[in-house]
Amino acid sequence: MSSPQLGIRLLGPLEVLDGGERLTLPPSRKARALLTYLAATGRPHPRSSLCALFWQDVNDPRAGLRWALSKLRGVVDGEGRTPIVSARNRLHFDTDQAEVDLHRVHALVSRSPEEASTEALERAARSFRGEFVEGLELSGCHQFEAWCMGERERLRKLRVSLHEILVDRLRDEPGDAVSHALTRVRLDPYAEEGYIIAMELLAEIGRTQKGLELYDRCRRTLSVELGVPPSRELEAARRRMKPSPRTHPTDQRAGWTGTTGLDGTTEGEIPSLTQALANLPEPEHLPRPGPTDPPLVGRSAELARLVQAVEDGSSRDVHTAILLTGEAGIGKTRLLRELAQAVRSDGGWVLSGPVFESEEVRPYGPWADMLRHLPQTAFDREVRHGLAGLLDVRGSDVRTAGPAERTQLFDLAARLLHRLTEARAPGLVILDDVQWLDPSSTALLHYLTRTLGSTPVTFALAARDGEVPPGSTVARLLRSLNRTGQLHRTDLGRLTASEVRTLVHAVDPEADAHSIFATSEGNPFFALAVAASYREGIHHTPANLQEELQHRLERLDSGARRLLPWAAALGRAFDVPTLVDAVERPASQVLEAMALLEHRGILRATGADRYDFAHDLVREAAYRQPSDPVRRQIHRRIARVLDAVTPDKGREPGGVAHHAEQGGLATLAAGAYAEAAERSLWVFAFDEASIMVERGLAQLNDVPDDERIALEMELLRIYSFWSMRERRPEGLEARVATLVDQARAQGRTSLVAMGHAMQMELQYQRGAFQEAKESSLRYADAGRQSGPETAVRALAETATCLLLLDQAPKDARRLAMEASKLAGQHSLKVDAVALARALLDHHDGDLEGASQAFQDVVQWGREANDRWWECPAMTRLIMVELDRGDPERAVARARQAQWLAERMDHMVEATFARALGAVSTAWVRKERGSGEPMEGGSADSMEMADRALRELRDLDSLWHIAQVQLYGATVDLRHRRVGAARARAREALEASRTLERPNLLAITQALLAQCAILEGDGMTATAHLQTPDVIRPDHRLSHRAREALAQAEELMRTLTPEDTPVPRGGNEGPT
Amino acid sequence: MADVILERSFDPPLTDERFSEITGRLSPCLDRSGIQWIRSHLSGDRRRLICQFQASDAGSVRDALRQARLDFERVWSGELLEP
Repeated sequence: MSSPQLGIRLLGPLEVLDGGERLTLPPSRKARALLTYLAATGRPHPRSSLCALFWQDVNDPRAGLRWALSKLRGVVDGEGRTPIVSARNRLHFDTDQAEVDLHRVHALVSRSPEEASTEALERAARSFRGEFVEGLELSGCHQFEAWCMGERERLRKLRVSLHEILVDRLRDEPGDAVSHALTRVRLDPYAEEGYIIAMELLAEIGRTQKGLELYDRCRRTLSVELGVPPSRELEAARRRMKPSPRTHPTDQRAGWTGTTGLDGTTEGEIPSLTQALANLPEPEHLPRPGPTDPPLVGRSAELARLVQAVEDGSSRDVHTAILLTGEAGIGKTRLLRELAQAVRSDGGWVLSGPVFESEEVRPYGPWADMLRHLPQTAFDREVRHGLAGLLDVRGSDVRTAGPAERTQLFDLAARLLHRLTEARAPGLVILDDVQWLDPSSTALLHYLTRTLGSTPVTFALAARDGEVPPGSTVARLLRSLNRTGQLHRTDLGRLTASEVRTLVHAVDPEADAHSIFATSEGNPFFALAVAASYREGIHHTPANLQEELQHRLERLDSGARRLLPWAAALGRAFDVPTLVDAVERPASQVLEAMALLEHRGILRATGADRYDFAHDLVREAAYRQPSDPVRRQIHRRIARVLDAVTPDKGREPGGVAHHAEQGGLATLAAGAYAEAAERSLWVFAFDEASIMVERGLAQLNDVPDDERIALEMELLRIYSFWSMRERRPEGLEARVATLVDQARAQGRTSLVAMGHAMQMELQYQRGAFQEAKESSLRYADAGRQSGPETAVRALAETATCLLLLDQAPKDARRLAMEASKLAGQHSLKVDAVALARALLDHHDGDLEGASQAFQDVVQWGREANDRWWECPAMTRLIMVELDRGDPERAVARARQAQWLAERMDHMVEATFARALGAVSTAWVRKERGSGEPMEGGSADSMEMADRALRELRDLDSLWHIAQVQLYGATVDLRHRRVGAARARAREALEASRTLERPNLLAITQALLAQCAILEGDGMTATAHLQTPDVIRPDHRLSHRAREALAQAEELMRTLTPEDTPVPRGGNEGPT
Repeated sequence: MADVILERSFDPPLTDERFSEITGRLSPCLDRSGIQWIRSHLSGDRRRLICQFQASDAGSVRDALRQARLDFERVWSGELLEP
């Protein structure tokens, strides 16, 4: 059937098209409104209703209607086409004779937007040209106005929802997601979360300046229109944005001349990779030499050799690395900067990532920092996806994204560099201070030097004399490269007297070059430092460079001098807001000090809000200034500041963990190392993971006993991963067993569960299936042999147990995935595997997947004549349907489940099914009824549910009681029976607390908050939403819990500020 | 915490080995759920077993038994009455 010629466009200004050509509408607003109403509703209306809607205030309404119809028919009727149909006394718009954009959108997202495909969502989003019949106002027709406003709001919410879901789905493609994020902000300007996500996406695509503008706009909106301050989350998002370097005054990333407007449209062109590489921003730590830099003296020969080495490297089949060595201050970094400039002038590109001593265990840190500056066009889809974990892309689920092993990860990096050189060559990758390079970065570098072959990329490394530990991975790399003839080494010596004279006279023609040479002995940095002192009138003879630097720092103004140890302790280029927070001084004072330090050459600006020390030696001198106890306090304070803003401590191992360790905050350090270690695993940084675990364990002596067990368990858990098996310490299993005993003695059931899961995992890996059975839940029948099926069942049932108890979710997921993988390898259909998968899918909100998996449990169990899990699976299916919002199917499922459970004599499940069935029926009756209050049918059903609840109380089954009460409370809230809903939620709360189930607790608090909101009590609602039951940074709540909380948050927005004064404290929630 | 009673029959009579197997299978489940096994009474003919647990509710004991794939006849919460 061909598409209709006639098109009605309601999602924007009203338009009628015939064959794509816009038709002229009647000028009468009532006629346009009538067309809108008929086309949007698509159903018959009595003429009398239409007259009442539009012509209530005229003498002859029917005449008015006839007139309007005649005008409309003159527009929409065509050959063989009469879409406005009159039958008896009713009129309707035949939507088969026209294509109405509103109905198309409804068809694309028929059940719910979450269930629609991404393509359908995008088509639906594109259908919107503006708000519903934008500009059509009909004051005086109040009923129509009310209907129209309702439709506008409903469609606005739908549109926001479409863009929200698209942002979520396209999160791994920030370039695609950002337009949706910006549209969402425009449509929902009071939702802070939308701004945060848009800011993050803009930062990811290098539009940092635009992101900062968005932040300012959000702040203004909150302040001016809502009178509220920005949230911590917004401020944290702002801090995480790294402004563009100062040398690029506009936010132009790698040559992009386009702009992305706040309406999500993109103007301008995306540059080619070749153009983008020509305009790569300079690395912050290696700015190109500028007019204020002293000249390069005494290094022409070395520079020429290096440039030649790069040229030679471009034409060889074997890869070459350049190594510069020399003492501190000898000019290695300066020479690298000159080399970088030479390569750029030659049409090549340069990448560099800083290497810091404090980040020696931050895996791939320098690589991540350098590759993040590349334009989006540098990455093909596979490379971008595969390197997401290495690049620390927010929103990527590192556990499931990316390559399965390290070689694949390294291959992707090689492919990326190769792609860059195809666009532009030669390439230069600089790694300064490699004595601090982490093992994973070293391994990647080694791999690239072995595999890049004739790709014209040169690696330029620099290391301080005598500071590369002999047994380190860096030392091994350099020896290997040397052995294979791939290392071009240059040792920088000290300058001659005449060279020192040239150097210092370029800065100060009057300088006493002879004395300076005598004091500095030819070290250029030392010479320049002494020259600077002489220029200030300080003529002294420091014994060494460190003494000179100390003198220079002591001569600073006290305010600026006191700031320096803080800046130095931050360990790397730092941003001013973090420094301000750490030192707890007014920002104006700090900025004044920054300016002074910059003027004195101690610091240099690297971005709008960022500074770095002019040289590592200056940082080291500044760091040594205070005494050890003071330095410890500085680190302690910095650890606390970073902990408050760092959402994921694992993302920056040089951050919270390092400062907490230096500051003596043992508990914080141990926890941060545990998180960082786990994150390292997912990027195959096993050496770093091991180091972090050991550092974390070393903290435990100073941790109180009640915290120690949990932390030790978290740290040792890292060793239970298959990939860490060669790094496991002796006696690990015995140590875990001891921890389990200690946890049991303290009644810490969740830790006991975690410990059991670890033991299970370790024994399974050891091939000890028999012991694994004993540690798990499944005990083989006499005739069953050890083997894959036993292992599958053991893993799956342990995972299931943990999931049913809401415990150790990360371990549960891992065990479930392993069971599934092993079952797949051996073509096994084990109901426990399906059950674990179903529970995970249900937790994650994949209700379609959960439904299918629960049905698999039933099916496979029947096929294997093992119907152990059939009843629980059937009752869970009822819950899935309720979570889907389909009470009719829930009723059907409940009948099946009840029938089966009664046959199998499972009275608890039968009663539970009966109770949920009754709740579902009440919901169905509500949907079919004419609205509130609860009518006869619904009330009867809820009474049936209450009778079933009495039986569940007799059976003393708290989990079932909690579930029935929560679903029942939801139905009560639909009927606006707030008191009844609250009573149900309170019983659910008590049950959930007894059982210690995090998800149930969160759902309960969300429902109690909704009750409070409906009574206009914002304070109580806020208290419910801020309890520890809800705010759990270490536990990812289920989809159902998050939905309930989101609904409560949305409902909160309907309250006025007067309804929501700031609660006075206490975070247990109202009782 | 509640006192929870489990009742179960065995046919053929319960052997020591079978009892060890049951307890071995059930222990991890009880551990995870924070359930404490207090005592059990086995009839002279070894056909009837009554076990007493301390648990948050009877449902938790039922769930632990289900996880361990152990049948039962009745599980109920009670109140201890002593002379």
